[in-house]
Amino acid sequence: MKRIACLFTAELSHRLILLRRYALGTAADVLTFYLVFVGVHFSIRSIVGEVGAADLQRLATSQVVGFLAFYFSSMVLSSIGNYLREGVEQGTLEQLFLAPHPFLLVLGARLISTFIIDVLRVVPLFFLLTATTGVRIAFTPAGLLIFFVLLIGVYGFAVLLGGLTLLFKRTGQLPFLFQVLFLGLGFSSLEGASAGIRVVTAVLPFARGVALLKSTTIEPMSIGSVVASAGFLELGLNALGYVLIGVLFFVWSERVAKNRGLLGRY
Amino acid sequence: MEGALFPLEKGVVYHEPMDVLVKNVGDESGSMVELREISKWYARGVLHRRATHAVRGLSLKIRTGEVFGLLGPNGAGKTTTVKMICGLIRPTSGDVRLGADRQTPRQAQRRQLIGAVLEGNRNVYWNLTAWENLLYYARLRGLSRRDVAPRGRALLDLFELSAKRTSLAGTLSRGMQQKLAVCCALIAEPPILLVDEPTLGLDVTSARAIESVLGDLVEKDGRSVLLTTHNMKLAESLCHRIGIIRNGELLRVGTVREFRELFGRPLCHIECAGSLSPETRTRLARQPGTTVEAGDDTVRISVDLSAGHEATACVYAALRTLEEAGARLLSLRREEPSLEDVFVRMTGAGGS
Repeated sequence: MKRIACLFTAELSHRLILLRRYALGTAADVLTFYLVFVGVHFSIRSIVGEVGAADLQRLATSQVVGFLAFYFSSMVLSSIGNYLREGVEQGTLEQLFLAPHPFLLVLGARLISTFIIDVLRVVPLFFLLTATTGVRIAFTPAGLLIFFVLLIGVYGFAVLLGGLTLLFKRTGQLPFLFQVLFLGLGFSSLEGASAGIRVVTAVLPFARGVALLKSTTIEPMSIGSVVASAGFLELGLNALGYVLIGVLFFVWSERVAKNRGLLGRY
Repeated sequence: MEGALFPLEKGVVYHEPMDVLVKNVGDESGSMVELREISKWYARGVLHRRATHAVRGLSLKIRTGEVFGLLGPNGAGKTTTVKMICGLIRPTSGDVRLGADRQTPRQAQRRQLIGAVLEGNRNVYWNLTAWENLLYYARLRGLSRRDVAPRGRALLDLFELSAKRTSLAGTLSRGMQQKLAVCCALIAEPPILLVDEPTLGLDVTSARAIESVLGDLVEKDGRSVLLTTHNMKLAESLCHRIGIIRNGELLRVGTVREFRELFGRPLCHIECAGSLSPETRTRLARQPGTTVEAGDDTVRISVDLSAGHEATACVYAALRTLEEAGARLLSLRREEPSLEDVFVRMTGAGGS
């Protein structure tokens, strides 16, 4: 147990040191995300035109919630690829494989540490978004539950991409592709989408969760009724599927990388 | 005492419980690392019909408290061997055995036995300071700050890095980064240290510092060290035994002295002032095992002494010829073969 605690301390302190050391870069990141939100938010408002105050409130709430979910998912997607790629570039990845833990545990420690840092980073972004849009967002237990299940699916998907990075290394464009897709899904609604698009997005790790999250935030529900809903069941199965596929694919990729001697090569 | 084996991972057999990791003293034959017929080949081509053999049936033992040097030209299979010992590359066949007397069916425990410095300075986080790197690697290996702080300070002192404790690793010189990488590998006090090309790209002073510290580690702490290098002087001064590898095959294992005796050619160098007439040079060169090199204002005659009794006669004959030619003798000395000579002779490659 002490070893695992030390592992988490190693990763968390590493992330905190970098957060402090590169505070300006962190601030620039947050500002960039904020500007992206402002750009998209006001563009959509200008397209929608004059609507009632209640509708505007609903639209803004939906956008803020969608954007925050996108922000976290985006961080998760890029973190694993960056972690592995930087590790190979700096030669530290092989050292991580020499740690007395399964590599997935080391990766898990890094992901949890990154999540904690992302929470710290999102606080100023959250205040900026709510101040700009004037919405008030209540964090309900049901909303938080949906958010965590959504993130679990995204983590599973990111681990799958991590497996690809182990094998092919230069996969930086893949997370970017999905980040753009998630940004679109964070702002848009699938209500008017065709059946085909609905099926495709239902299979993706983000779409179902963010839709459920938006609706739960706009019209609060009890945790019991959320858990009992078909939408949450689908979200849970989706997340579970991605975690299973992600982990299995990563373990397979690790095995192939060791067979082919790819861990130290970029 | 060797027990039943648990080949959980293809080609790798686990042996050692971690609760005795630091004080492990090897098996009854004294070996800490044992490679049994390990091979690695990579399938090539679309249909995997071709294969590149990186290592072929390599067997060796590294004893407790021994520095073993694995020498070979580029692409000989040194790094692949080291990575197979670490578990970073899976052998196609054969066994890697670490530690000693009891079985350890846990891969994690096997990793605790090893500290590795792979590819020189590329083992540390450039955006962390020297001290932060040490703490990170200690924690990664399950040690808390309290456990390692005195050891970390001692290591930084030993490697003369204390003054750079708060400097970012990325701002250190290559030699310092390399030394820091060795510190990080040693922070958890592994009984086996694998060092791949530790002096590659280093200046003379940094290379000597690494050499001196590695020597101390074995002498004082009794660690087993596997060193791969192109630096023959380093291997000659540090290694108790060396193995020469070429095209993935281990050609021979022995001490430096054994290699010299078996494969080296001691030479007798006779140096004369001025120049020699063409007739004299021809007479000298006719002697078996004798070569003549003319410099700007000296002539060097080298006689191969490996032929034993006949070689001594050749030296006397050369001296007589020089005396008859009236040459002024500057020096006469015997030169022992260097490891580099042996290496070049065995592998047909440049050693450094």
